[in-house]
Amino acid sequence: MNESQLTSEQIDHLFRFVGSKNVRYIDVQHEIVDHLASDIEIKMKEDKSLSFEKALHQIYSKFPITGFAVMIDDKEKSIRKYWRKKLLFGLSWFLNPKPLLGISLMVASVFYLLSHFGSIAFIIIFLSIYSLVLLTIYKKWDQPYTQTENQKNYLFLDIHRYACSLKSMRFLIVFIPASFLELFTSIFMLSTFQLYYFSSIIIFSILIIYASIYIFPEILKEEIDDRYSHLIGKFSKKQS
Amino acid sequence: MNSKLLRGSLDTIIIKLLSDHGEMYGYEISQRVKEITNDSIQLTEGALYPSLHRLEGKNILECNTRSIGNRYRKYYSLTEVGKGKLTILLEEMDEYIRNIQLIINPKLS
Repeated sequence: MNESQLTSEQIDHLFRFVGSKNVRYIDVQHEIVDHLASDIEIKMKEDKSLSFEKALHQIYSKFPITGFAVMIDDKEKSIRKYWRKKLLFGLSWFLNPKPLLGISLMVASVFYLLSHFGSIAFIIIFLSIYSLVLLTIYKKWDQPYTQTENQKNYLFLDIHRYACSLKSMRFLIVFIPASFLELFTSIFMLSTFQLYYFSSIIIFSILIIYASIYIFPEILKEEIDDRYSHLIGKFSKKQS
Repeated sequence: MNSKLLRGSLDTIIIKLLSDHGEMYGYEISQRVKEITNDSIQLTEGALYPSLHRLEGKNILECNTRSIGNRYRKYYSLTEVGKGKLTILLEEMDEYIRNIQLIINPKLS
């Protein structure tokens, strides 16, 4: 069965029905509607006297009392898991030999600057990271994608925004200045190992910010274009 | 059939069917299971779709959405990871069934 046997009006009815059962995400609605429609088509084929409405009623009555809630929860969990894996895979690029060598050189450079130029180097590095955090948050790089023009809800977009979101970084606006004085007074009492560790944290933070701005959105954009273009067309970056 | 027994083997059933038939959509999988088992096993949507989504999240299945006139249909198929998983799952299932048989029908010494 590769062609729909229900009319467009009946399919529209199914969309309204599914929407009325608290399924607000369009991409989830499509999946449920196809399942219901397939079941209805089979039932109406087996019993020619069965009406569309009666078939729908029979099929829906077999769902649990929670309706479609289980399907939606599970889909949400699986999409979150999928995005997390994808993003971790993106981060794993940094573990390749060339990037790893580059990272090691950066850590060594920061260590050298901190151990030879003391407080001036610390202040410059500190202010640079703080500026980057502010710039990242207020440039809205955490939301390169917008909803479609008619503001429909898509579960994968909501999840992707959650995965890409830098909102959790906003605590750094307060945390960084608050920790400045303590770090400034204690950094020069650190041992060589501790200073290397601190240098690694600085580089790691910069890399995470870089990945969030440049790498993650590209990974997710390709994924969205590949899997969901039938619903929303090819994605284009939000114009800043 | 006891739903608890079925829950443990649902992933294997889905992966095996997709291995045999290439690409299938959700409803088609439930109908095929019903057909093969003469209505003995009936997969509910509440069991089937969570499994499909979970396997998709684990990159064992991939999906391809196509228009079939006035609606879209999502077809599932095995990824390379999924194809590799099939052999392991079938061996595990075989071993499990053998062990259960030993308990339920012990051979007389």
